[in-house]
Amino acid sequence: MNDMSVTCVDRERIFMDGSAKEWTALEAHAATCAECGEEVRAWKSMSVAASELKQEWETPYLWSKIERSLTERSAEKPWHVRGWLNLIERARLQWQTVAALVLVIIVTATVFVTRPWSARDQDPHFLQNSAMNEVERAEAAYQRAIDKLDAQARPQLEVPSPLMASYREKLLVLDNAIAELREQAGQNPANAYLRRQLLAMYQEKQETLQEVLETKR
Amino acid sequence: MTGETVIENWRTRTYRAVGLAIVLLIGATTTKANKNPDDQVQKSFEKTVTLSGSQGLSLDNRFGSVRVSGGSGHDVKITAAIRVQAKSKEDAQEFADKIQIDVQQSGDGVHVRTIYPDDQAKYVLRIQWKKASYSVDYDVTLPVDAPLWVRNDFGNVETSGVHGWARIENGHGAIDVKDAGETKITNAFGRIGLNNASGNSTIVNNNGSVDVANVKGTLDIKNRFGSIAATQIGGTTTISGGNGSVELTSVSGGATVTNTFGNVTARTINGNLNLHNSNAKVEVSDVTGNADLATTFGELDVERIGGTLSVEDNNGQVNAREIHGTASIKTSFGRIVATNLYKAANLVTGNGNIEANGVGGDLYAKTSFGSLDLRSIKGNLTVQNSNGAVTAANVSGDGSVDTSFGGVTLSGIGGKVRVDNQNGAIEVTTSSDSCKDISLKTSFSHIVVRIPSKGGYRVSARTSFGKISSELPITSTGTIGSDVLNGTIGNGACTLELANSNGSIEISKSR
Repeated sequence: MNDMSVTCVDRERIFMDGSAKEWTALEAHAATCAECGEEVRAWKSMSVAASELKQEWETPYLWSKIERSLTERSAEKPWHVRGWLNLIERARLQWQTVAALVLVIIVTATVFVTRPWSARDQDPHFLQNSAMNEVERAEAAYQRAIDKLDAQARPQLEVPSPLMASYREKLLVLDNAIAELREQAGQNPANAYLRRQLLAMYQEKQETLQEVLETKR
Repeated sequence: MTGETVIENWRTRTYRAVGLAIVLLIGATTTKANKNPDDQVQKSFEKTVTLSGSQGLSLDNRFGSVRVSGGSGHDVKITAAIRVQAKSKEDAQEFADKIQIDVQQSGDGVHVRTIYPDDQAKYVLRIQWKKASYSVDYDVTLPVDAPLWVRNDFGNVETSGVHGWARIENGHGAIDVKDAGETKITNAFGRIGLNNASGNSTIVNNNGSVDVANVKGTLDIKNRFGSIAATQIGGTTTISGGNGSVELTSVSGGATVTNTFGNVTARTINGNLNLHNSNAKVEVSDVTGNADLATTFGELDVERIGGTLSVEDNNGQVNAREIHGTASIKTSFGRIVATNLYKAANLVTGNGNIEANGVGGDLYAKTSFGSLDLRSIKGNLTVQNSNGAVTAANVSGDGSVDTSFGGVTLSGIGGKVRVDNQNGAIEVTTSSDSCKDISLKTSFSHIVVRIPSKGGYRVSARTSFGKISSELPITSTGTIGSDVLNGTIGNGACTLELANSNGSIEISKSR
């Protein structure tokens, strides 16, 4: 009987350091879940392969040779790399497994980094999730830059002159536009046109504040 | 088992494990990457409606582009692409199905309206929850002469070949209108382009550039924060700019331009030009009518004006060339350089030099703290200066100069001469063979006057702490002394009054 509740979300943790009870529950879940089932089978294959590898090393000289080689390489590495290697050693992970994990990370990262651009090429009307994140990061960066510029330009903007009155008016107009676009982007978040317009308004506000500061100089 | 076999097996199994990991990962990530197109839905909408008489089309959209083109026949062909992206394809489809394109036909024409789900209050919460994103792009063909009204908010609008009356309104997006009739274009944040309009055109923008070319009728542009460029305008042009540059070329019906904080250029204006700018430069050339120009804190450069020229600048230099009508140029804290003013001219500056070469009529020149260099004046010359030198040459008419703390040098003066100076030398050479009245007054410097030998003068010369000398014979009458001389040269037809304090007086022949 499986009295423990396990889902696909838990599988990676269980792969790494799951208890026997958790493994039993995961296998029970995998029997009815195609996505988990495939990964559990793959993981087991890797584990068997790794354990078989260890069993094959009958020659003590060979393992000593490899160990010595690893130690020498570890001595050549910077301290933080050595630290990672020691951690791996302490965790008793086979280096083949570690290599596979590193590969997993690299491939995943590559796919996620390149995906927004291909997604953009697919449809210019909408942003995909990762592109949305990029845009939101850009917006946040603009807001931070604008806040800093605004604090610097504020004393100059308060100067009672026709030029500063004009800049104040322009900034008010831009603020209204930004507010309107933000409201619309909240309702229609992945609409690429709205996001581009919003970024353009942020950029124009930043440039306007820079102009104000230049008049001071 | 040998050591080599162990290594070989170890390598093989390692590669196998790693290869399996790669296959699994790429499969997983590719599956995830390919999920994106599945959460998007695109629906097409098509409808054809027939217009009759003077019926037109109105189109109201919010998110997406609108493209309208004029076509033959009486049909309005409406094509729309509804696009939705949501967390799942089902959600996207559901949302897309909620977007309605409402087409109504009434007496005045066809009314097309996009109804988004968030237009209806009951869907607001659903949208927030599902976070759907959406747009509707229109492509419409309507009869070439049918009136058109387009309203959009977030997207570009393009029209081409619509010759009927057109009103285009947008919020955030570019507007491009080509081959139009009478147009009224309004935008808030975005570029406006108008090319080829057979009727009158009105353009209002808030924050974006405006580019107009080839308008046969009148043109009226208002733009608050953005540049304006207009060329080849057949009718009267009125431009009200804000904080951007204005460039106007080839206008047939005259132009009125107001702007602030942006340079203004106006070239080839057939008619009158009324241009008021502030805080920026003005350049004007080739105006067939009158030019009334003003700016502040900027240079003003004007050339080839067919009518009168009126310039008022505050804190800026003024350059004027080839002015065929009378010229009135006023500035403060700036220099005036004028060349070939074919009629009379008034040149006034507060604190700056004045240079004028070639004035067809009378010239009045005034400055407070600057020098004047004035040449080839066909009429009378009147100069008022407070602190600066005055040089004038080849003046056909009379010369009248008031100044102080600067020398006055007048040569080739054809008419009467009057100079009132303080603390500066005076040198005057007349050009006429016949005599003209001369009155020169200064202090603390010398007076030199060169007069024609054939002329006759009644001489009255007086100085203190200086001597009086004459190259021409004088018949003395009355008091004679080293500092006073009264007498007659020739027939004594004209007066020669010379007054000095602490300086010499010299009378000689003009060569």
